[in-house]
Amino acid sequence: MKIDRRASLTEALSTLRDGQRVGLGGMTLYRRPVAAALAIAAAGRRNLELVTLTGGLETDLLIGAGCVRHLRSCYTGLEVVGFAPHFTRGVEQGSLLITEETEYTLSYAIQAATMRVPFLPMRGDLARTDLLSVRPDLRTFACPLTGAPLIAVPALPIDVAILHATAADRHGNCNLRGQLALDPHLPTAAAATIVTAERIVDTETLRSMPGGINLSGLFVTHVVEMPGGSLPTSCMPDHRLNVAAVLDYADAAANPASWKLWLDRAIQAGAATETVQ
Amino acid sequence: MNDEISIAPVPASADLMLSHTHREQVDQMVATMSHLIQDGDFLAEGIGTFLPTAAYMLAKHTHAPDCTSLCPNGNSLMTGVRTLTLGHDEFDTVPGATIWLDYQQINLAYMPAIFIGGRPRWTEFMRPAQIDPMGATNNVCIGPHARPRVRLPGSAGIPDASTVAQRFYYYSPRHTRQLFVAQLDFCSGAGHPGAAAGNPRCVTIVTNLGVLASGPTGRLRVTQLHPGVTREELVEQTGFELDWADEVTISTPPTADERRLLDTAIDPLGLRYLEALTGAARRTRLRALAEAYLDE
Repeated sequence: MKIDRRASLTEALSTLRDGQRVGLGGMTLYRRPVAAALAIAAAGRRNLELVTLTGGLETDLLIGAGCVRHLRSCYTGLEVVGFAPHFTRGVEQGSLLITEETEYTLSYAIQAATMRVPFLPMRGDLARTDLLSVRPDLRTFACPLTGAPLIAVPALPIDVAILHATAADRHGNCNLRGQLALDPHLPTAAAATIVTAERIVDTETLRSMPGGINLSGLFVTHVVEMPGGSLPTSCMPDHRLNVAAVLDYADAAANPASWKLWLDRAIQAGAATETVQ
Repeated sequence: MNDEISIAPVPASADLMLSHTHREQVDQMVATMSHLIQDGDFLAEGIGTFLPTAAYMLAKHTHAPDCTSLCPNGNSLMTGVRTLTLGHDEFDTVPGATIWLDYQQINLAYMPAIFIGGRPRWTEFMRPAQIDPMGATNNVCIGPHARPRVRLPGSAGIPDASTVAQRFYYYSPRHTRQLFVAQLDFCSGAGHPGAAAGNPRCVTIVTNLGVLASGPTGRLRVTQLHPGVTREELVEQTGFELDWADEVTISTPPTADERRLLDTAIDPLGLRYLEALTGAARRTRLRALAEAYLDE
């Protein structure tokens, strides 16, 4: 195979436009594309719609950097560290639009996008909560076979999916470890997929890693070598979650001055990493 | 409740930033939750919810060794026991997994088969921000959804699971009038349907004061008080009129053996006590734990 999808982070992210729908890989504080999120913040992207099963530090920093208009997730927080400060403030102040998802609604929506069907039917039981009152797009209909109430969950095609991988080859095949979240399913629902990887190795090495190749490079458009690209979130087996750094983040996000300082420093550190590459 | 049984290396109460009473309440909750688990259960863990995870491990160490855990930190199905960590579970759960799944496999295959198929028996303790008299819950917002007074992290899989599973469990280390409310600000967890059809048929809540479970009408009623807790105390801390079971039992306190397992094999760092802390105390304790990990 000759296709070489390697790129710099700047090149890869130059395809991302304001207002696009971005799917973020990983889960809460595990294998999140933090370096990519910082690069998006540095590039000053605006009005993005983020899709993430659970939002964590990467989502919150993008909100804090003013990149996000709309968020779809079923949980956004910093787990043991507590509330995600920018997310919480954004919703409370009305500056961030939130689409209330559940684990199922997001799973169905991504699956429908992958299958290229307009919706997938979900059991109607969700009507016993208040979810439908804030999700007018989830329409109830009668099952044509049994007459039972069902909910149509609309497909959610993604413009750009961004994942951080344990390792990748130059074709974009990936080895993902730890929490897989929706990662193996985002590229088939997305028009473009950017992978940052702890390391780029040859295909044979990738195949021999625990878990082997569990994401095909077929739908990957760019692969960027980015050691530590998930920090301070985890990337098994190279990096454990750094809870102290997440606490620092939450402290910094508490007021505008300390937040600006945190963001500027993190962006500079990210730019320095890329220069070294 | 004997202090000499809780031996080192669990930190002293002063280091845990927690009073002796609260510490005892946490261990009572862990024991009570563990006792509700049956052997062979499918135990779904939350992330950072150390209290129920300690209870799952305690059950597996004692009366329920054949339970399988779903560890969300790694999405692994895992038999056997492990020691609680501050966010590093995937390093234990992924290598120790019988199978390692992604979230589409969980949400589109395993969970529907288990919730609706009913086999294996599923047990998971979730922590709500509000509970109403029918056991419906809120994890989304306080105040109107469009412009909430307090935005909460979100409901995750609770809307999906609560509407189809026959039994649903919650826990909270803070039994207060803010938790038990007459009217939810937002319903993200279905309660008992009362006379109507639907699930869950039984909601059970373990708090630091006792246990409440759906009664014959579907309204929650107190079934258990933890040792030393009075009826008046529970009434005082509940924001709606309480029903009482005909026979209210006193919870079985943790045995010396259970305490030893918790303090040595399951949770030597005392992570389970974090959940009972708030504000500056929680922050200080968490910072100390996080810095200790960095020094490792």
